[in-house]
Amino acid sequence: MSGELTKKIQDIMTAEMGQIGVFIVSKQCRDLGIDPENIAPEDLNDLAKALGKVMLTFGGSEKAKKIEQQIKKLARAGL
Amino acid sequence: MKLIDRKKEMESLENYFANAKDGGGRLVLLSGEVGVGKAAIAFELMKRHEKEAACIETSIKRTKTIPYAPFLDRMERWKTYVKTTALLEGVRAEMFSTASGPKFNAGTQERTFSTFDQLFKEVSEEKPVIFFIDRLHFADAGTLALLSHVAETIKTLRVLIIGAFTSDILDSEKFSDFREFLTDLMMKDMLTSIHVDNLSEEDVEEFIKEFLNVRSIDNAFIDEIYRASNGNPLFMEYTMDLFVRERVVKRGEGIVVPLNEIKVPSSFEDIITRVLNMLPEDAVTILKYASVQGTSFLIDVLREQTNMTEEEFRQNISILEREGIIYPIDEERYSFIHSHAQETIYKSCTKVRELHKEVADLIAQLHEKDIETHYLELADHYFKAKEWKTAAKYATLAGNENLRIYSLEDAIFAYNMALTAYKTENEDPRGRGKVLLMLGKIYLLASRWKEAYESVQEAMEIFEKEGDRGGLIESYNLLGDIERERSDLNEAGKWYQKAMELAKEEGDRREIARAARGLGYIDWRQGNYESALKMLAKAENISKEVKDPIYGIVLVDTGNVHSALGDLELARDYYTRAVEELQKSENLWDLARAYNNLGDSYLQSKEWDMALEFFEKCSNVSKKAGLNNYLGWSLFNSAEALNAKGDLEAALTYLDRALPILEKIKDINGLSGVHRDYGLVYLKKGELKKAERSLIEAMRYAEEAEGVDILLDIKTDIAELHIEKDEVERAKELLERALTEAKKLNAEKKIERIEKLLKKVG
Repeated sequence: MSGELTKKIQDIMTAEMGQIGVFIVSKQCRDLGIDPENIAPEDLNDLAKALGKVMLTFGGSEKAKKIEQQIKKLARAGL
Repeated sequence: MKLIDRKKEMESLENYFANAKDGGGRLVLLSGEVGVGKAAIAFELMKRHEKEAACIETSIKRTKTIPYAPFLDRMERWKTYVKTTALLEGVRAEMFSTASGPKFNAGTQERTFSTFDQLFKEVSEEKPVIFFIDRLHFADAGTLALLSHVAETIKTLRVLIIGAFTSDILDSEKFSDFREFLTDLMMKDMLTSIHVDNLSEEDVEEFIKEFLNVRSIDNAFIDEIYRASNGNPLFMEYTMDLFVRERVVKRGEGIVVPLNEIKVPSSFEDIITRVLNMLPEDAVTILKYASVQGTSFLIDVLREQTNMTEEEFRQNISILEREGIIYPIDEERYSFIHSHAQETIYKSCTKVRELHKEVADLIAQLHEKDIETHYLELADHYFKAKEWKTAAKYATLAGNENLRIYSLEDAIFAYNMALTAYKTENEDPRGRGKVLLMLGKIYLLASRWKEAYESVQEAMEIFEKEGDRGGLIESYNLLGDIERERSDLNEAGKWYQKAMELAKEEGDRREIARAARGLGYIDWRQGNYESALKMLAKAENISKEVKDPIYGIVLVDTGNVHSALGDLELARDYYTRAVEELQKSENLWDLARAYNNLGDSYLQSKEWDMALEFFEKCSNVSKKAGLNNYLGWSLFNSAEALNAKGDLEAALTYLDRALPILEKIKDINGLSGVHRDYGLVYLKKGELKKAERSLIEAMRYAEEAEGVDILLDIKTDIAELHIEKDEVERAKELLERALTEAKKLNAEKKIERIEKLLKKVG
């Protein structure tokens, strides 16, 4: 289940950012003390916020909002 | 533009400046939409501190510019703050020393980096420094590499560097260098950014009242402006300027017509169209001719096209500047402020084919002296004029020029344009073959191996048909290089053999040296060190004799064999000689390889800081030249050094960064290295399951790549893992097998390591 979440988040980020997206996820995870290979459902809210913030720099407000919402949606879906 | 309610952003910048004043220098990035007021914030900070600080600002041009331009452009300003400008002048002089324009090689790069280190140090000893670079997203790879470097060195200096960039357009391919730059900063924990958002409705109201110099304004009007502008200050300013021109508002009076008569523009394009309708006819004519040249245009070419007197022409240019439609970039070039304006006007032009031909002929005639800086423009105009032969000629020249300065994407663009022109003209198949070979070479440099292979295959077919044996030999060797990079050593060997045979028949010594080098490389990778040394010696002698730049490459390869044999001193000697040769021949690809391998030799002798220094050099050259494979390699090799130094988290971050880069280009040798390093870090962290998984993955890639040398290392790592897991017998079994293989290879260092581990397990 948890490896699956990593994959889903990486896919979201890759779709928006290309290969750099995978690194951004790993880096945010490590900064938050989350194992990037095993993202757990309880990590999602913090991770969504962190990725939303960093995406302001990498892609602007719209993209940041979109990514934050997509990840929060995963959290709501109970994955 | 006015600074509207940016208290929060200003406070952050003030804090960073206060820290910088205390010797905690930093690079701070301001991100946000176009026109949101990023520059206004930076200018406000400079204004507040102009007396106590050395304030220097620069803006990056949208058109292709010289590397390091933002640093060099403001030379006069820097001069006012430094004691001696000798170094600064030295770099500038070197850059402009060649007749064919700016020259950039690794030697220049290193000297430029240390010059700016010294410059910031010297200036900040006198005064704190605020250095602002606007439109940073347009920066070239060289400038970004320099900025990334100085961001590190100013950490203990009284320097604040501010860079402003537009964040919502970064997903375009043309900003890939900038995205890499941001990622690099993030990896090094140096990404400090302030996002500047659009204004709130209250701020919009304040802006409009201030603009019109009135105390109150109709709420419906504010709502409309807010809705159309989405709070973008630049859009609001343009809109209000338009309303003043249309006389629907007046400063000091406010709205002077019924509200329902005011038509709020829906976009910048809308504003521009309405402004154009109010311009004199001659000014519009000038804009039409200018739009054919593109977003930026040469003023002398434009002047020749219009049938106006000098005075009329100047007057109309002034009108267009005043109206905020164009602005001067430098003495010879102007630009449309908004690309929308250029596009809208161009669409309305007729007889564009003739106009493009006219522009191209005028550029060739008026800019004969610096024609190499206009190759791409000429190609583009002749292409649009359907003058295929001339277009192909200039596009090829543009490709060569871009390749010379390692602007790979631009080179690919130019060569593809040449290819299309050749195909349409259908008269010069050999010319097309040569362009295809060049494309093959660039795709190889950019690690785009499939495209490289297809281009060279197509070239080979043309040369076969045309009976061009020289072209064929070159194609064979290049196909060997591509297969070698794809780690299909058998296929690579076949191509090199074919090249060798034909080159011998033709007596082509250069190509014989290339084929010998390729075969020597394969021998090294397959662990046939003796045979590798023989083949490489042959390549070394011939290339030295015929003065072929491959000589430097052969030196790196020979160093690799000595390194594999455990003679690190001799290996370093070869690498160091290679660096000198490769700098001379401006071969950044192999220079990056030489730096990486020098770093690797220091890894082997456990001199971690030296290793990191060379990997950093490799990384800088790779970034400048767009070499993804070596960027990936320098990253995971740095991770190995960081791991050895005990900085495990940093090591993991470097590996996280390297992995997607190498996965994208499918560099299986590199992927084997990354997974091995993950394994080693996890081993050290005691996360044995993860370590095992990573090492097995590493082994899988190493087997696929037929990398005898690294495979042996990984097997030894796995044995070490079993020791950690207390599986002594299994470890012993693996180590004994590894020892036999290492002895077969005569690899001293590996034998030493395995014997040490064997002793440990008794």
